[in-house]
Amino acid sequence: MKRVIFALLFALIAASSAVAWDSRGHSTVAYLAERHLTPRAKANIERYINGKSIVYYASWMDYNRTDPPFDVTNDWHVDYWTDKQRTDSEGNPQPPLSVSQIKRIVAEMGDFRTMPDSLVNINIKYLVHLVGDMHCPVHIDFPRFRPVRVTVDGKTTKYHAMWDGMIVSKKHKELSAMQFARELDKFSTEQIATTQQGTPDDWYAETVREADKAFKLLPEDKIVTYDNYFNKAIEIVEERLTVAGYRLAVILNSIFDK
Amino acid sequence: MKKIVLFILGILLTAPSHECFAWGRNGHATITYIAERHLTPQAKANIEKCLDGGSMVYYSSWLDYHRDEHKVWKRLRHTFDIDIATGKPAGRPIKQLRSSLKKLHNYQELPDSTLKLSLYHFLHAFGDFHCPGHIQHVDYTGEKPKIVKYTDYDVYYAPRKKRIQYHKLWDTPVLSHNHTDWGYMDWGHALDSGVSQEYIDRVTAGTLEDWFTEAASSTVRIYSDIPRSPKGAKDEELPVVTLNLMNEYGDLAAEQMLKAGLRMAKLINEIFGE
Amino acid sequence: MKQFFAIIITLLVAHNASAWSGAIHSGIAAIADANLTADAKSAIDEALEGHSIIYYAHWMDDVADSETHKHTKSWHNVAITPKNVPLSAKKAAKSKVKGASNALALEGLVTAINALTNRSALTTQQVADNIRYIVSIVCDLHCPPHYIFTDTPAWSDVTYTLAGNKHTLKYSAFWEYSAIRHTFIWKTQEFVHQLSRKSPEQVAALTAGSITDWVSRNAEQYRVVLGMMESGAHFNERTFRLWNNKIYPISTEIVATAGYRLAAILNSLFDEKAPRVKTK
Repeated sequence: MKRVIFALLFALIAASSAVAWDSRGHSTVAYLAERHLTPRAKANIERYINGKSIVYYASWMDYNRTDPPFDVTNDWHVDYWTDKQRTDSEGNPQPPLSVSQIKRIVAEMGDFRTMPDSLVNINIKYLVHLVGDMHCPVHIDFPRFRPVRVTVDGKTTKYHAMWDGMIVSKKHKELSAMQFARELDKFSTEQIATTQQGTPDDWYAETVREADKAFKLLPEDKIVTYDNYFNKAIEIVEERLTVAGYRLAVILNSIFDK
Repeated sequence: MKKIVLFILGILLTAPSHECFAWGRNGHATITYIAERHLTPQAKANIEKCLDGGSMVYYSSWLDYHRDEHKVWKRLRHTFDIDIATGKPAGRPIKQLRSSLKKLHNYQELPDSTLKLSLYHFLHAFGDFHCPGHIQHVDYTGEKPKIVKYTDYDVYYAPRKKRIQYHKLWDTPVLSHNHTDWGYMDWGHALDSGVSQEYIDRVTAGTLEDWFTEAASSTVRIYSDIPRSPKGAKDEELPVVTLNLMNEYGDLAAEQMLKAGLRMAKLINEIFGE
Repeated sequence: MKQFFAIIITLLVAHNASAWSGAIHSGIAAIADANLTADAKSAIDEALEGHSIIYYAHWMDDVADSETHKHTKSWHNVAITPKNVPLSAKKAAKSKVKGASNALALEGLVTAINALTNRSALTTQQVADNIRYIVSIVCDLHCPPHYIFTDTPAWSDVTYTLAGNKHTLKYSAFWEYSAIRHTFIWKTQEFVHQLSRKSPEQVAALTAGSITDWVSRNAEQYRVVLGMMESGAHFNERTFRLWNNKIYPISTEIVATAGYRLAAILNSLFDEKAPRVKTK
């Protein structure tokens, strides 16, 4: 019986935080990107999504990942860091699926006007979501992170679970995504330009480094407090959301500003 | 022991869902907010003057919360009837709405209390008739009108693994299912960001009756997708609202809110725009 | 078994408590932010390294446990005499009324304002901290359960039954439950959209007098508000709604007032052309 209750509790906790960037995180990235779309790109994009904002579709992939016909996309969100997925049959290292899908879509969308409307529509939904996912430090499932447990307010939890629910909710949970994006959008023009340089592969390598950095911030005894961890971890979270927004903007502008 | 587990589950599942009004407050707020975005400055100033400087959004759910306080308020219907023979609106609810609109056309001459009640009624009920769960199908061929279809039966809400009254599913869950943390400004922005003039012209063409007929027909599918379940049916016997269906219903609800907002704006501009 | 319940209750309470109070704080800060003068806003945003005050709306709660800010723990409540005058720190320390000795919100606010008035002596970090203190404290000073009336016994728990489930909450938590769950389902900028609508004359009336006067006027009003519910009351769905319908217009007014007054304090500190706000 105890087991049942544990399972129940676990399910409850997991259900409330099953995705690392929750709906608010993804909305924030989309809002931020939208602030940096050119008027022409914005108008072109919205023509393909029935006049809606890209924010409407920021989490679309999350709620369409389990059932056909979109269950094929279920593996695109998180980079499971295993030998099998990191190399092809000849042993060549491969980028994670989020990155390879972004690259595929960008390449295909070179001339979006010749594509069927429905394909452009779905590709917009994919890009809006995956650019967020590939910037999330816990969307990389390192085997060495998996067994790690931390203690927060006297309770023990998984490292990954702490990232999911607690860090953002410790601060700013009550801010709407709209306001959160405004708060984060404070890079200078030069900083934005620098952020937008590079390729999705470079950006992903950066996420890996950030994930590592966040992990190393953990105090040795793994007892986590506001001062010794959350305060610094939130900076990483905010920086990731911000650069994801700027980069989503540059990708969408490169496709649709023509 | 089992009882305790069920009890805990019960608390957790019921706690967030006790709000059982049409569209929920967020849906009504979204509709009036979208409407506000499409008002002429003159219409906005005039209607807000009637609301003592407050926003339409602030009063959009007034009728839900105050209906117990006066028998006249309580009589105002939130559910709308269509005649199954004609597909057109029928009965008391549409008469009430027409009557409030007619009064508002002379808003400058109304006593303040009548003006306010007519406005609160219009701002709310106009949203309600765009809510798929709020349209009931009525057969008028017999001696007495007979309700043929209404959403007052239980369904199985598969993504959340629980039973729920179909009517309630169309209130808040249909909006909060995929957008748990959105406020009305988020909704308004997301739905109304780049709506084309062609779309606005198309959905706002016609009369109140036309809009109602259109709203009713575009929501007919909710009864064919999910047929009535017998009273007392067990969970496993209930018709299932799947994840895919819930996603489609979310989009349908969003579209209905957008249409309601744009149409509401047209009426307010006509009445208060001078 | 008891432990499991404890865990579950902690989870529920912890989950809810932070979100509720945070939402109102950020709404008040958003109203204030919208009413800052251009000069004050740019000075403040610069002091906060590009963030607005909204971003720090309940920052004082976040940092309560940190070494640097431990002294702010007593800066959340205010103790009030029968004549609606805030109790001085000295008198509060001697008071036998529960919680009064720790009700030093007004002292905290005055300390922060005085520090910023002579801010040439402060480091950039200290300037930012004092702005953030002010934002949090002004919010708390506009929340009825943060007032401790020395002549009124503490309120007992409130029970309510909604959707067939009976709940018992502390009075202050209930007030927040009611205020947030049923009145303010709004998010940040939505507070501005709905409540930042006052004429200059109305704002002048709200911000007339000193901050101590404001607290006295609040105390007078909150006595009436708190009296609108019996101690230990029991609500069902219907009576709760009826009660909340009465509270709704009052609590929206309280939140709007807080926003305008916060703006007045910050304008006074950061814009030489703005009207002065006195502490006493």
